[in-house]
Amino acid sequence: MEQFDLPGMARDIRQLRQLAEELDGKASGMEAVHRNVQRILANVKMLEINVCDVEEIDSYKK
Amino acid sequence: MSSNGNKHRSYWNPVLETLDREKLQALQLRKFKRILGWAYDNSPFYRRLYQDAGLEPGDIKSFEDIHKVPKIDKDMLRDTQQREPFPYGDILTVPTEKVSIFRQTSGTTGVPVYQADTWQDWEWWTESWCYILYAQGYRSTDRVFIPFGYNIFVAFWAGHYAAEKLGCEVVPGGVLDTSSRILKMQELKCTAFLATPTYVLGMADTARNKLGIDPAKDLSIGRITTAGEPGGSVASTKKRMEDAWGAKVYDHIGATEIGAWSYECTEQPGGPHVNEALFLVEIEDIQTGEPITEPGREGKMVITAFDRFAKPCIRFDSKDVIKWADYGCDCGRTFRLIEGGVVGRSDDITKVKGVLLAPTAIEEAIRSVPELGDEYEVTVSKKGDIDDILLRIELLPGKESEQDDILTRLKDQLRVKTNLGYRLEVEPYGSLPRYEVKAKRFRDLRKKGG
Repeated sequence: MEQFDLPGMARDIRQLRQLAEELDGKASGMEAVHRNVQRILANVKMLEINVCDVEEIDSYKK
Repeated sequence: MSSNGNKHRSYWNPVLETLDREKLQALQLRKFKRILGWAYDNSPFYRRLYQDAGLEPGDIKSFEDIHKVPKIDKDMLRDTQQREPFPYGDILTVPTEKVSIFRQTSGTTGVPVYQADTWQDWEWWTESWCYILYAQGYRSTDRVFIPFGYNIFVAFWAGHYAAEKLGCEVVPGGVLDTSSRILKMQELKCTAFLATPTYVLGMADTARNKLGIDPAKDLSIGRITTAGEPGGSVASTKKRMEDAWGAKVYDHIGATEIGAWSYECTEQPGGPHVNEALFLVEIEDIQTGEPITEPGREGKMVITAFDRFAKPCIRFDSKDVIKWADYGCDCGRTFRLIEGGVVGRSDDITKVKGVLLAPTAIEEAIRSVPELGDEYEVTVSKKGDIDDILLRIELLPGKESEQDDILTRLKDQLRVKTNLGYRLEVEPYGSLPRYEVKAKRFRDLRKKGG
């Protein structure tokens, strides 16, 4: 597991979420943006499940 | 690429799938608390359930505390559907406008359960199938045929999306009939397909007897993933499928209300892995409810999906009978194995002539006699005060002259596998019902509605 930069990946994923949410905020109800952001966020959630959740445990245990 | 690098290529997620058990359990506890808190805060059904039991999410501090959380079952899911919002009931944690897809259970055991998924939940279904297909060797070079009716049943929908996500080329078999599906698989040189064990055998039968195609020689199928029935983990059924197709057959187990919770890997150690990063599987004694943690002892499964949010599945009493394996797997995954897959359902295992009978044991006996056809039917009834088991079978074409010998061997196998005697009836080949999805081969006329 040490071969993977989990903290670095988790940091990028959190930035992805933040960026997507900011974009959604700027869309002011523009459906073409809002709906695509929702799909992006669903994929971000999969990244969180695959990387961030375990990284938080890892950090917690150190 | 280092050898470790190559090894990592066997896993969809090399971090989670090889996580040491201590960290895995810490991850599971954290994720259990998260979904419990979510359900308590957002689902009137779960909040009522927990408040009635005097439980708050904060009460769960250790892994052992999880056993204090009330279980749910299918009847409770059916009951909650009578409440608003229509048609899912107040188990829902999100407004219905957030639901992007409807599915329902097949209704095999009663009124169907309706399942709501948001787009995120659907991504999660797909993700769980990515673990399955990747572990079974599917790669972007595969052309995957999906011979399934794309409808209200979840069946292979997620397999389709996951194969796409892996980069495979997917051929949706949709409304084509069986012959057209086989011809399309042949024309496109498909390398893999997904189907129920019943249909895997049924397609091979159609190929051989209607089209004059030998699937093992004339098609390019290298791997098959099964779902929906226990056959993929029944050794004799698996062998029959592998012989018919000249392909490796891998099992996966899932359910509409739960998700795709387990998968066989290419090592095939004798049972599937539980995806313990996405699910918590507990085993309980069928009679007492006492937790079973040791290998080799059968019990019923209680399962939690950690990351399914619109309609959470928390401590669901699935009635599936499983047991932990007492061996590991050479694939390197730390996810535990269940020996022989789902060996039955606690509500299917029935007492006949005072003996506990699981329908999968009958299947195992039948599949071990190669001269028998793929279809059979079992009917349990009462003759006076005595239980009677009628087993209707078919002989393969050309085997009629060997009938006496075949039936003797079948009776021996049935006695060894089930410890019971049967009344056998041989039907003309092709006369018993054929199924495309789940087969209904076992009827107990002693039960109401059987």
